[in-house]
Order: sequence, then C-alpha cells, then structure tokens
Amino acid sequence: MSTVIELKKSYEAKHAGGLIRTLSAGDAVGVSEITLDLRSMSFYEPLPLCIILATVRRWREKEGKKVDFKYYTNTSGSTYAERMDFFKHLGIDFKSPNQRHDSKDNFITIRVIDHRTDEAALGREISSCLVKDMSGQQATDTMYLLEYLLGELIKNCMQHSRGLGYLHAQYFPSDGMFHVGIADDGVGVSGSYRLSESPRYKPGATEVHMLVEALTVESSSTTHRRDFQGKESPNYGVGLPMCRALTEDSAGLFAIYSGDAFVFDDYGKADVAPMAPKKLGASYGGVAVGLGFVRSAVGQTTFYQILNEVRIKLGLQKRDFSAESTGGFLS
Amino acid sequence: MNVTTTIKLRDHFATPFLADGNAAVLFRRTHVEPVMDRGDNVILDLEGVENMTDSFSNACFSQLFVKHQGSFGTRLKFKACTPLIKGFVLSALSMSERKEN
Repeated sequence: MSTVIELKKSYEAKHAGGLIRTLSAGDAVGVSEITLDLRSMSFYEPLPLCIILATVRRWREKEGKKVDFKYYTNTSGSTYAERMDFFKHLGIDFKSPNQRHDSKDNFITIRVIDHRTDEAALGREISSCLVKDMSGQQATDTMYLLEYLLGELIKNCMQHSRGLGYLHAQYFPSDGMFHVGIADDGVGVSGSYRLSESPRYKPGATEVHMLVEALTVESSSTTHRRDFQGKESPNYGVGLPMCRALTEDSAGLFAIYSGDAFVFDDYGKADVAPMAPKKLGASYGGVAVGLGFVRSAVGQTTFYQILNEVRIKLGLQKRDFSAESTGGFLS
Repeated sequence: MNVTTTIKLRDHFATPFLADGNAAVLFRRTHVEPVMDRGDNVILDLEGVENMTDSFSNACFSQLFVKHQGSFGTRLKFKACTPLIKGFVLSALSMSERKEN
C-alpha cells in the first residue's frame, strides 16, 4: 500500500509534534511505499529538518520502505534546503547551479552523527561558525554555551541511540535565537534503558515514564555502569538535565520526542516552568531533541556564571561550595 | 620519595574543548590512576583548555575524587585553570561528594 504525505510550508521547532503526527502516516499498517511531497517547503527550522531526515532513513534502511519525493527546484525554500544539504541527505541530486555553501554566512550544513563522530571537534566547528558576526566576550561566552550544548547532545546521540543521527544548528535574526536540532533513528529513550539493562527500566513502563527518568539528574540509562571495571560508563546522567536547564536560564526552548512521549518548554513565554512529559498522540522512532536560546541572554552574564547558577538550581552544587582553600589549584 | 607527574590535557586530547566522556574514562584509567595507585602525585595541567562538558569532567575527575578520597589539594592538583575550567573541576568534586552521601 502506498501513501502520499504532504508537508506544510513552514515548520518551526514548536511544530515538531505536528510534523511527527503528519509523518506517522508512513508508519500505518501495510504502508510500504511513501511519497513525501515537499513542494510547499519554504522555511523549516533545524529540529524539523532533522526529524524528516531521520524518519526517512528509518523507513528506508530499517523498514525497507520505498520513499520518493515531490519537490521543486526553483523556489526559495528548495534553495535554502539545498544549501543546508537537506536534499543531499535525502538522496536527491539537484544538479542546480546554486552555490551551496557560502563561507561568509554563519550557518552550517546538516551533519551526520554516528559512533565515529568527534563531538569536541564538531561542537567547536559549529559553534565558532555561528558566532562569526559577534565579537568580544559575548562571542566567546556564546560559543562556549553552544559547544557545551552540542557536545552533550552529540554525546547522547552517540552513546544511547544505537543508530544514526542528523544535526543542524543555525542562528535566526528574525527571533534572535540560536536553534539546534538533532534527531536519530535509534532505539529511543525506553529502548536505551532496556538494552542497557538499567535497573530503572521496568518492563511495561510507558515512554512517558522513561522520559521522566531521562530528564532526571543522575538517572541516565547507563549510570548504573559507571563503577563497572572493564566496561565502565562515563555517564553521570547530568548532560540532558543541564541542557534543559541552560535553555530555561537563557529564555530559550527545549524539546524532546521519543516514542509517543514528548516535552516542549517554551521559556520565551512568561512564567513557563519545565513541563512534565506527556503523550504525543503519535510515535517517533528514535529520539529528537531541539533547543534554542536567545542570543542576548549571553553577554550580560558570562557562561561561567550561567553554568554555576544552573548547577545550583539542579542541586548539583551548593551555592557556597568552594574548595579552593584546600590548595587544589595551582596558578 | 613521592614522584610528581604533570600531564598537560591540552596536548593529550589535542583540543581546547574536552567533551568525550569515553576518552576521559580511558585517560583517567591509563594515565592518572596508575600514578596515584602507586602513591605518587599528579598535577593535571589545564593550560590551553578553554571549555569542557560536565560529561567529560564527571567521567574524568569525579570518579578520580571518589577513588582517591582526600587527594584533592594534596596528591592531586590542577594547574592553570581558567575560572570556567575551575568551575568544572569543583562541580566534579561536588558530584563525587554527592555520590558518597
């Protein structure tokens, strides 16, 4: 059975849940041929772009489905997507005269994340590119915040997904925000806990319950293995909660989708508290994480100050904690 | 007499941004713990290290503080840290104490 999925003109990060619901038509029982209609494509933020790529890969590589596309080659949307290498990752060869990569712009192409990815090198490359038009201490602190977030997200994808991920990041002057999206076609949050034989995994536990675990400090799927000799896990279960809290502290957004569970925090709105994971009403086959932060949030305070405040807020560090007097630091 | 070994992390990892938790575990187990296990001193020189993740600092330093309690400031010292890097080290120390509590 075949199906045609028509995508909308615009998908911002906040529409990722709607996009997943739309794409779930390709997961319907009996569907083996999918046509993705991209002809309306105009403006897609990083998270939606990565969700589409990871979903198409899952359909093709893991489920053996035939996926075709309808697209235009002469619209602003297609030019934009081509420059990001979106079509290249879908296997579409445009053969267009457009210059795909303009080194003067502060954007990056979509990247593939697998077990060989060097998160430090990629984190620095992307973050330094995105702050090209900034200067002084604000540029340095923004770059450090970006590469911290990227380093933690890439590491999560590599360690837990057991699949392949797509990463994209960009600065949007229209809303003054940096947006990062990463989506994989892996085993999902629940699958990671189960396959890692985590004592926190309970057979029959819902995806919502396991997402609560993943967002809890010191509750990673491999935290129980950090003392194992020989196969010691480096994981303390701090990265994802830290990323979420950093976006909250910088008036940004945090989104995560896994299975039929999701969280979407829009900290740009007044009095928004981190939401408890909920059911989406559709299922995402992997993990997709989107985050953003307001560029102006960094600069008035340093990354060092932001980090310390967030650690204190999460209970990872006491406000008066200081061991400098013990002489542990040499100049 | 105790011997002091100084290790420059910028040279070892060949990057100013330390993010790889697995590499941190390997480094700790192969370069730092053997020295401390035989009773010698270690200075971790962080000159040139600009940034890291909590995943790296916890994997590298927290477990070290757990295994060698009381060593911070005596047999284990950190050199040339920026305020940001000092914060990562102190956070890892705090994490190791959380674990013990």
